[in-house]
Amino acid sequence: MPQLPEASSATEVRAFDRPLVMVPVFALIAAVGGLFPSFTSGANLLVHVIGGTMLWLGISGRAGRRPVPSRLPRSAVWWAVPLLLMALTELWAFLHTGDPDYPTLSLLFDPVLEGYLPRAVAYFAWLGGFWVLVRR
Amino acid sequence: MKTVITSLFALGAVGLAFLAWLSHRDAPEQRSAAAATGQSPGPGTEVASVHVAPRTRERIPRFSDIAGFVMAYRVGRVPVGRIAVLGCWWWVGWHFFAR
Repeated sequence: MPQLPEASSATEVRAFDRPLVMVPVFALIAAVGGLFPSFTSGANLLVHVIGGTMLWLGISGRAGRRPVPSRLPRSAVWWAVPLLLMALTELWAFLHTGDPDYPTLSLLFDPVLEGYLPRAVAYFAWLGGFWVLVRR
Repeated sequence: MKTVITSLFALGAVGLAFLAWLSHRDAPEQRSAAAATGQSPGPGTEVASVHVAPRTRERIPRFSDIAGFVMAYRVGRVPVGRIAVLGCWWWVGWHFFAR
């Protein structure tokens, strides 16, 4: 039977670190973030304020952390298969920059993220992912 | 060529989604196994501990487990792994929403 990885100790969960608090906060930020189109100073400012705050929270440990495995099972390698496929495809497309027949991932997403709703939803997903990483 | 590249991205995304599903399906088994060995149970254990199915394959770790493992890497007192992973995610947001 496969062994469970040992987990390091987790810090105490803060009062604000609950879905009831964080989901509305992220929804509000995403609703505002969706208003700013790309290449605007507002979009840059918001992303960098959020990124800087999250990085500070993640490094300082003020948000609390969940336990992490001290080692990974060999099956973790399976994650490399789709990630490598996407990374190599991105590299292949990036090497043909300027040719519309070779779109990178961001070029494919640009038309989708032009609309307010998909942009706000993607913003929310980015914030949620950030929070998961900060809490690890 | 655009179709090929889009299909490869889509294939990668489907692969990620499948692995995410597999790893989350394995997660309740981890919790129930932890309960069986007397380790501290997590939320949802009371539901998950109903069955402990024998498995022949090794469990797939969640992506957040891998991220947490990488983020635990330090050089001296500097949390290099944490800075790298959080910085990478920051860049993703900037690249898609602001650049």
